[in-house]
Amino acid sequence: MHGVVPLKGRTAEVLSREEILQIHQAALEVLKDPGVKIEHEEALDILNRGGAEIDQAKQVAHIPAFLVECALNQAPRFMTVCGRDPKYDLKSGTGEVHFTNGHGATFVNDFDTGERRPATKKDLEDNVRLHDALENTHFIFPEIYPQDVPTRALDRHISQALLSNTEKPVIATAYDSKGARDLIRMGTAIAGSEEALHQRPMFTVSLGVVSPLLFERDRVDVLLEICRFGHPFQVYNIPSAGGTSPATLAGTLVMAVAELLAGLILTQLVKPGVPVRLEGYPSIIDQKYGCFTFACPEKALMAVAMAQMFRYYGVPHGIHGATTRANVLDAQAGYETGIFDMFTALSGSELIIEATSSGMENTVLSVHEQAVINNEICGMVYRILRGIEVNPDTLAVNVIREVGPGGEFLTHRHTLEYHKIENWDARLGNRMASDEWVESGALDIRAKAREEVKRILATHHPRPLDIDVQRKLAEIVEEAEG
Amino acid sequence: MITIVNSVIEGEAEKVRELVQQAITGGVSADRVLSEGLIAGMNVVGERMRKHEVFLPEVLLSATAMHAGMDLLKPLLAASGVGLGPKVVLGTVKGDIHDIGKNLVGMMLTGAGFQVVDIGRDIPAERFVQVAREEQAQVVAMSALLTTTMPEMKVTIDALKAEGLREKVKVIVGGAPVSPEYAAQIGADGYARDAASAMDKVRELVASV
Repeated sequence: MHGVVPLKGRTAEVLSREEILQIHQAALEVLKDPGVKIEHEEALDILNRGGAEIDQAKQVAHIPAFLVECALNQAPRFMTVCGRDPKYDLKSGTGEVHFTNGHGATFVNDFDTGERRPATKKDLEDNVRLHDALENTHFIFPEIYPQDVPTRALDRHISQALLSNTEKPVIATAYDSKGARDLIRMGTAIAGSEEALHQRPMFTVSLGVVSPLLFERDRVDVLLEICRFGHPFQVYNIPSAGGTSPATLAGTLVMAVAELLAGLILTQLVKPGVPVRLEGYPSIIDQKYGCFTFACPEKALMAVAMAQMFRYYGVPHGIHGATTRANVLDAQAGYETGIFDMFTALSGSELIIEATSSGMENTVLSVHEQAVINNEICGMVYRILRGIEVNPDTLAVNVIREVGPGGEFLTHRHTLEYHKIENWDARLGNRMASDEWVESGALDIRAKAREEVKRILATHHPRPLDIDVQRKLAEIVEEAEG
Repeated sequence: MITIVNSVIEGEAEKVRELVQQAITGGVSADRVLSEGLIAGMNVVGERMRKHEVFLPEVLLSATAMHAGMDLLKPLLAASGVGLGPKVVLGTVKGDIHDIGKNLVGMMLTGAGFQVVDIGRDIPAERFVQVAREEQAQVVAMSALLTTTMPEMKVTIDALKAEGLREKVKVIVGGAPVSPEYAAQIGADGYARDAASAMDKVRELVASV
């Protein structure tokens, strides 16, 4: 899957080199004291053997700076997550920007009735199929958490829906060590063997650090299982300034970096060289409404700052694009995601998470149309990232001479050759004049997006898994339901 | 004939010329090659253009391919006494030099089998009248891009009336500031917002005669 190198490598920066070093130094101090709490004895032992000082009573690891250096030396700089179809392989470290969908909606707007209702597994399957079709979704997260399946098997249901309904790489889900083993079984069934899964890992799985500075037992179990298997892993956090991290953006960045480095250290002590992606989604608490805010300028600034920190460390990474806070598909939904996707993509981060999300209401609600609109926004963003090609042929002095004063360029062969290369072809946005737009039904962007969703869901069917593999996945899910 | 249609759609001038020559040599009548080959191809292009499925430069390429075939057919059509299709006098009105849209209309009309007499841009009313009379045109087509030059359309229509030509020609107008209401208000017979609909409108007007 090819992304775009932004503006020939000229990326947006919000931190100076010196500020990056200041944040790094402060994060090292935080890792040492207060350190991180890890509700997992085995993991604490591993950190202890690595050189961290452990307070057993408090389950806290005080992590010295040299462990950061070691982990950064051991962790691969590059990471590839494979599609079932190799054309979708997602490579990090190429300088290219890629987009992903979002995660975690528990409600949907029913596509037929418009009614807001709890999400189902069918909604998730449709959502994955939709993103399989959207050209600017390069990596598929579980954007919907179904509410119609037993909680004890929720992670298996999610992973099954993702792995079955797209040929693109996915973020699968495991909530505990048994879930992690089941996920490896699913991957092995699809790849054909453990060896084949190692060769072409088609999913990663994540551990979310609970800010401030807490690693939960079950999630650490998942880390141990997946990393020991040698499979690509992700560590993310979502500190919220003024709630679970300092109210200052710099302080939140310090804590965000410290938490992710602690996660990276643990993975490299468990299995040196295991590929790990770090993802930071710091934002703020809105102190009037008392909620985490997914699309605010502070979050955009911190996202770009995180991209700079990750580049400084030389690790595979991702930052957050936007999920709108809006409750309906309105102008707020458009400007929040538009500004966010543009600015975060300018950072040059290899993965802009949530960019093509169907999520609204801070990811609580999934609306198919929003994904299609965001896909269009990302197309526009990509065109801007591609920048301006300057060479003798594009400078076109000869063409200007041939056409001459008062002429026209429309019929020149140079136009025929270049208009498709230079111009982005808007698919949904209206470019019709008023009378034609009225005649064509006066559809606004919501209606246009709705038609596009309808078209995709009716016609787009990714290659299904072999029937034996489908059966195997279904067995794993059933077992977990018990 | 299908291959001529496809070659026009693909905008392959060389191929169109070859295929038309083959058809002529093979004894196919010139007016069949025109209507079932070249015009049929341009009709498909026009339809795609109307739906915004193709880009203008590609449309123009098809028009060029169509012309390549027409050059071979013209002498034969003239010799056989078959008409070349209704005549359209086309220009931008006095004071208005914006002619890209007008040129597109010209190409589409030619593609649709009309004889287009393009008299250029910044054309005073008298000249429209003079050419319409000399050429015995069935249609006068005018465009304006500016609100300031738009009134010249009415001046031209009034001049056609004064010279006793108004009943003999259909008048169609277009251009960014023009609306169907304005067209009706100044006494034009039709309005089109773009080149593809101009083609439809002119067909409709000529058929109504």
